[in-house]
Amino acid sequence: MKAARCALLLSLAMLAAGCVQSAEVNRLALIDLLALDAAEAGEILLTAQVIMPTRLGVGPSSTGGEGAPFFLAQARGRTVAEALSNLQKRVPRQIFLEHLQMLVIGDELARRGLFPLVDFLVREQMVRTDLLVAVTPGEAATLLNIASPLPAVPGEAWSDLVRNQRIAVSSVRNLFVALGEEGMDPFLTAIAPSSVQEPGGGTDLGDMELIGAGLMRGDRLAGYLNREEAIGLQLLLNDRPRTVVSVPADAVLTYLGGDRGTPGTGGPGDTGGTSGGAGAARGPDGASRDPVHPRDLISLQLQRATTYLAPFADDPPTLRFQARLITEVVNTTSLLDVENPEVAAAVERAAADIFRGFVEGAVRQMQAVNSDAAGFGASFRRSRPEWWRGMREQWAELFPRMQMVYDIEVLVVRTGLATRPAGPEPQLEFPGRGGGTQ
Amino acid sequence: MQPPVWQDNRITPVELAGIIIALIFATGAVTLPMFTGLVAQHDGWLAAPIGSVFGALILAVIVYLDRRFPGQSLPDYCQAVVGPWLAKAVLLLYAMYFLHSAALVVRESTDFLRSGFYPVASPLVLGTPLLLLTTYISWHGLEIIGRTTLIVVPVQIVFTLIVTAAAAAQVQPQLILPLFERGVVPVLRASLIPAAWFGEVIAIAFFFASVRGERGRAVAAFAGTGIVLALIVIGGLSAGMLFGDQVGRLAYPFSSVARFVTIGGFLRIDPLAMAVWLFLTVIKVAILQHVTVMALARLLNLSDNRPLALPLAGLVLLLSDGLFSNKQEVDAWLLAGWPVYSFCMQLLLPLAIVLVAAVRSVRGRAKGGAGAARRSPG
Repeated sequence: MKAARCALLLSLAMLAAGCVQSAEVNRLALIDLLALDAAEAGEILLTAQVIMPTRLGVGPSSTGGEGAPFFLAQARGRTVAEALSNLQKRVPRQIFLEHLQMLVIGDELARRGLFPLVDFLVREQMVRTDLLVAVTPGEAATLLNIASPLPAVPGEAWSDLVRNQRIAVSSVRNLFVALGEEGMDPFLTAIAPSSVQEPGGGTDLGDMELIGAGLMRGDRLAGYLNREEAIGLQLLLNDRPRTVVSVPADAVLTYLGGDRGTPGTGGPGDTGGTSGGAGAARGPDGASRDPVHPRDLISLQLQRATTYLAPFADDPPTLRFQARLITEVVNTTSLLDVENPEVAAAVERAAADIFRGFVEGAVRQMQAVNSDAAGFGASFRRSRPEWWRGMREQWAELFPRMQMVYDIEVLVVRTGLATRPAGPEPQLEFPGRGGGTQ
Repeated sequence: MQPPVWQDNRITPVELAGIIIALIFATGAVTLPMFTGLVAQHDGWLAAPIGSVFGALILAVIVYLDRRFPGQSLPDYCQAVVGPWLAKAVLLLYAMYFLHSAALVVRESTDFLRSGFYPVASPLVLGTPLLLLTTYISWHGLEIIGRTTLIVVPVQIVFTLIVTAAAAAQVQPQLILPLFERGVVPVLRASLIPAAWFGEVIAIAFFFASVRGERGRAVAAFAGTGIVLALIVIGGLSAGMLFGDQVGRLAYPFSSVARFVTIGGFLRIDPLAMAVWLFLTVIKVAILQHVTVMALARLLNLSDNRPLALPLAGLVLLLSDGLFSNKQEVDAWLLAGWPVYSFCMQLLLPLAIVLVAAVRSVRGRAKGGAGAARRSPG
């Protein structure tokens, strides 16, 4: 009796595990990149990069290293689902999208409108909501034909790159949410083909490049942000793009209270109250050399960013953008002593100007194409619902006239593994303790 | 022979709390944010706390009746209050209601499995193992259900917390602002749906007296409801903060949250979501089957209700497939018909019993004389 019960329970367990609709791995066509382009007569051209596992250098019958580990398959249809179904008639294995890493949309299709595509992405059970969606200024299909020199599976490497660099990250979820959110337009990661030449005149190894972001108005592509503007957009969205900005030494000097360090005056070293700077700065040939060259740079890496966007005034609609950016010195080509608190403060102020430029550029471009990708309208909607209720219809006209108030604070919290710049010692004399006399 | 320890068919207050969590959360976990999102958009999560008041009210009625008729359950005191014939009618209504609920729950779970994981599987193939298991559990009685609850409910709670914690890094809290954007009315309308879910606690009226500890069971019932409210709010918040106003456009928002997150950047947890959700469904269907069988056995004056278990399971399976021709019908029914139907069965009917008992001054015997009710003089 007990054995019979056990057998019953076991058979139940077997049933519950479900071999319904099994998907054997050797019968799947694993797709890692998908491109969608506009075709004639309103159709969609779908290009799939199908992985060939035997070329990945795994398994006994591996032919690793013999050409690209994928092939491209194309099909057309009036909807994405129809195109996929047509594709299935050409690929002799079951199309499998669970491993899809990125979807690239061609410029023309994106300008036609993306809502039907987003609907498919949300509705289809094989597509994950964290799938990355990117746009390219040309044809998306051409990007898929690039055999990237480094990664075995291009899609995976590209998805990692977009997620790590965070220049502009748009997933199915972002698109879906922004399409339904009042006072907000979607944006897309923008990528383009790039040329990678082998050193010494070798073959041209192509690859892709992050070029910024695509701005949408409603569900249609309206324009692009370049890489710096896209960083501005990410800051507006309270995201942390991975970036290095280089602060010119002359901008730092301006904030130190001196003039722009014209050669021969000894630069701000004199005005800063130190003596002997000019003398120490003379080169071996006796010619006067400015200790701090205006074209010298201090490179800062953005480590953390906390930003806040809030309405400031109603007429004209004005928003206040507050940001606190934590950075670290990663390289300095200037002889300015970055350890010095005064210099560090000046570097921070000069860096804030640069970041402000990024954000201003992004806002300008968004206003130019009337795409509220940063959700300025949504910000009003959340903070001033009554005002928004009266103005929601006019927002498209109000948005280009929107003003911004900036309050950007940059903090240089570390200087990497080094302290002072690795320059010739006698020249490290400005201001105060950097080796100069006081 | 010494009867096994589980033969006294009583459960502990903790097990009761687990049963309540399973009753409300089994289907509520995955679909509830969709319904509330359809009506109240990003304010949908606010509907659950309002709806839970309804559940608390029903619990209060159950506890009141339990105090008034010590040691008796709804089938017992119903007979004492409204008389044998009306009591049979009430039992028939409840048997049909719980049968209907069980069929609906099975239907929802097979729909969920088919839209998310097995699109071509037959609902009967998916429903049969589920019902075989639930019938096996409910055939063994309340105590086995209670003990199974102790195993699966903590897993579900931990899993819900893991999913929300994994999503926490990516949520955008501003998506649920401003609160009450479209006013209070949509939120109140939306709260009718979670109210019907919280109202499922009415099932415990059939075995409330079988829970050990008079005070403990009342506390456990409310605590269970509180825990499930917290879980639903947490789930609703994480879905709302990830999908904003679009929550109502996702068929299974919390499952979409599980599909969105990864643990450690690579571990996908959505297949687990399906498995764990089914755990609770098993408990819920088993409970509903158990109370249906109880009501039917009482109706037919059967001393042993076990022979009814298997035929009833077949009926649940067939109803789950035959009541609705597609998922759209299920959703329309849950959105429009179900709250009204539930309101009658979950609150009006027990309240009517309370009212009649008060008017006719019927009360149960004091402790020691449990078993029969008496009508007080006058």
